[in-house]
Amino acid sequence: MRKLFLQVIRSTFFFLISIVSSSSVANEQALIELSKNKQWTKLLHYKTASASQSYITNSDFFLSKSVDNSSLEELKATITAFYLPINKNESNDEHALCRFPARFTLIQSQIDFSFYGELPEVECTQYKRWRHQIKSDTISLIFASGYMSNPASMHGHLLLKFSDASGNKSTELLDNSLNYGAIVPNKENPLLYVVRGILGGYDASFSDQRFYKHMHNYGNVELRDMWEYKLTLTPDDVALIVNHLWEILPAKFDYYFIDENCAYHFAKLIELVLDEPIISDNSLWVLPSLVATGLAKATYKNKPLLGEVKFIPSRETVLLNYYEQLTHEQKQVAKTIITNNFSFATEKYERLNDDEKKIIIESLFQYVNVIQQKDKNQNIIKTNKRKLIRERLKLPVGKAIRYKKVKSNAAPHLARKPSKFSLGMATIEQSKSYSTAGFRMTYFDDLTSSVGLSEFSNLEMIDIKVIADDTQAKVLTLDLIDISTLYLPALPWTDTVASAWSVKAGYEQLSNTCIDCGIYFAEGSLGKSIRVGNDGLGFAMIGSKAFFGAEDDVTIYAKLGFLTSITKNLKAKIELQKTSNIALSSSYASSMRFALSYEFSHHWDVRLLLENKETAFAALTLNYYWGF
Amino acid sequence: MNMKTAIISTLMVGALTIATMNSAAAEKVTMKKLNPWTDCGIGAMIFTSNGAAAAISNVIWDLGTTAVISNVSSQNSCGSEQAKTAMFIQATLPVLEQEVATGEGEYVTAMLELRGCKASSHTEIINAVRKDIAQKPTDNAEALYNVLENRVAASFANSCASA
Repeated sequence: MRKLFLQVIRSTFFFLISIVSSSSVANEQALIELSKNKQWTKLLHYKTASASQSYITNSDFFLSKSVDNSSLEELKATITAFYLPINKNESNDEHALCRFPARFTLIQSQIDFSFYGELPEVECTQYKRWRHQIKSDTISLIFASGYMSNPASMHGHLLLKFSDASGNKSTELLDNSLNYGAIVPNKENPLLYVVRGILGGYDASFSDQRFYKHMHNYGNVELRDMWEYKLTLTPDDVALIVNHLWEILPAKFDYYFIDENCAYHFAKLIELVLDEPIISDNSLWVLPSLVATGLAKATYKNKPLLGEVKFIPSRETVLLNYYEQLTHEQKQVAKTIITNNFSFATEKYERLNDDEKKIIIESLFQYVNVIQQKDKNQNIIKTNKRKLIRERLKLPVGKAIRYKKVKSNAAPHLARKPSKFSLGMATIEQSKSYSTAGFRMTYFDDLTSSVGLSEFSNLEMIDIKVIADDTQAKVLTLDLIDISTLYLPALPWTDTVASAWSVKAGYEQLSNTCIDCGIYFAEGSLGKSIRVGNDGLGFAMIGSKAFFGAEDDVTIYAKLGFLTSITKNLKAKIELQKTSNIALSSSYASSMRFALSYEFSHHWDVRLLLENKETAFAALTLNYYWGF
Repeated sequence: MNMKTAIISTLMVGALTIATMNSAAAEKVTMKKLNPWTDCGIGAMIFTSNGAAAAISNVIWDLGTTAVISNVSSQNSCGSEQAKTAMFIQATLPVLEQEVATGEGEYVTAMLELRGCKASSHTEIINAVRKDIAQKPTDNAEALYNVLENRVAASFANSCASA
């Protein structure tokens, strides 16, 4: 122990001597320059290039033993640690040369190590074993689409995937992938979960897993489509990212749902090898779709950073795709099999040739997979699945039906930017005129083009509209959340129509006749919907609305509506609502609302709103869409 | 043989006998067949076959909340091909068993790659597994794993990684 201590002292002494000696002035200058190098500060996850505060919160990540040390101090501490002799009381894997392979690569490319003497030879067993498992020819960003059954998952999720160059499909399941997330205690109180998720209180970290686990979780269980954004990084830069990943796997971060989330940290990880940021360092909120958009815009070595974009359908999307490929007769035979508790003893089925039988069974495989995630009666589903498997085993080997590519799967980076500024004018009862202004934090509404987004859906958070005349300005509405899915298609072979739901909470004016009679509210509704042609949707819903403020009240309502795309850029929505008696205001008894949106560029649209809620309200707004 | 030699000889024989017994016992331990479900705790480590646990553990904060479990970087104790194959089967059974019945697919190929089987043997192995399952249906991940392991041991030991 004493011997090791002396060795440490000696190494540190020689290192310091080499730094302060007159012949090392040039080298000191090189150290100062490297400490300011963007890539070095990115490796330390500093919040800005000039500051010394890191997103990483555990001090053992920093060899200068403080999270607030300057990048120069950390650089010197790192080089010193590289030269430390092997501690026989510790595993070699604890040595800085094993823990920080990316730092070593960068420093070696900028500093002449021979100046400090000979580096110790260290066998990094754990690192080598781990590194051997990572196929690192290419990196992809995986975008898991919004999970509309869970409001907090609606913005989507990001992962990184490391692949070999072959692009072999089966190998992709075995690719390594990187996830980022909050470390949440088991059985966490849901309210605490929300509060700590938004305001802070959870640690977060990266974790590495085989991609099949995410494929199963997102694609097969949560039934979410995914997109793979393949990046055009060189093997050297991919290797740097992978090596850095090894450095940060044990690191802890603070988790904030709004801004310091998976989207932010994956963007920063990719930026390690980019000259320009994918998303702004000063973003107040960060969404996965903005990272996808940033990738699509970014350049890398004077070429686009983004290579291929690949769609990975969920199990439900595969089911719908297979169903569309079936003939009418095949659909009928499959329906009979389902109705007869998955018995194949029907004349129509037995008459089919083997290929057709295979097509039907393989389509029904997808059907039971999806049902398995939606139906509580797992035992019956498993029994039916066994019957399908037994029947399929009787037939020859080989798939008879495959996913057929369709054009409508636009990737998320093509979607309109999520934040909005509005300016406009309004009139009440055609007599009083007002100016209006608005701001929306995120994300999209059902009059937005659905390219890259969920169709017939609304997902808005923090949407405020202000109205003003010559004498006063008031908040007209403030929607904290406004979420709806008007079209959840029924599964094939079920005799139900599509369903719809919505939730909304915020602040609004009780009546159009006043702009100073605001009240808080929360409402929710459920309903059914039906497609009309390719672009139209009719819906009927019933719901309940609670009011809080000057007076409290609860009411129920029924709503009929129609939403359609008239042309590619023109969308319209009409809603008629009848409300039960309400003590607060007669203006809620019945109402009609008509909205028209014309998108004249990717960033701009103009909207007309006509509303009759006891009195008439009309507004014309110009909207600008943007994102960080 | 004098008394001293006899005592030494007896001690040596005794020592050798004990050593041999220990060696045999050690070999017996070494040869014990791996059960990834009990030896590696696979059922608890990753998803249930219907994925419900995964869904529950991945709720609300989806801008990064997938539970930090079973890192590749911490799977040293059960890192064999068999254990990895068992984990794969456990995690993907709902889709995998359908592909096994169909006789092809990316999940089937991935399973056999994980098991360390040569690509040229995949078709033969899966055909044999299909026949085994047709005779004796499997209804859970462990049963499918056992069918595969038994078939590999019986007919494809030279085409796949050794146990």
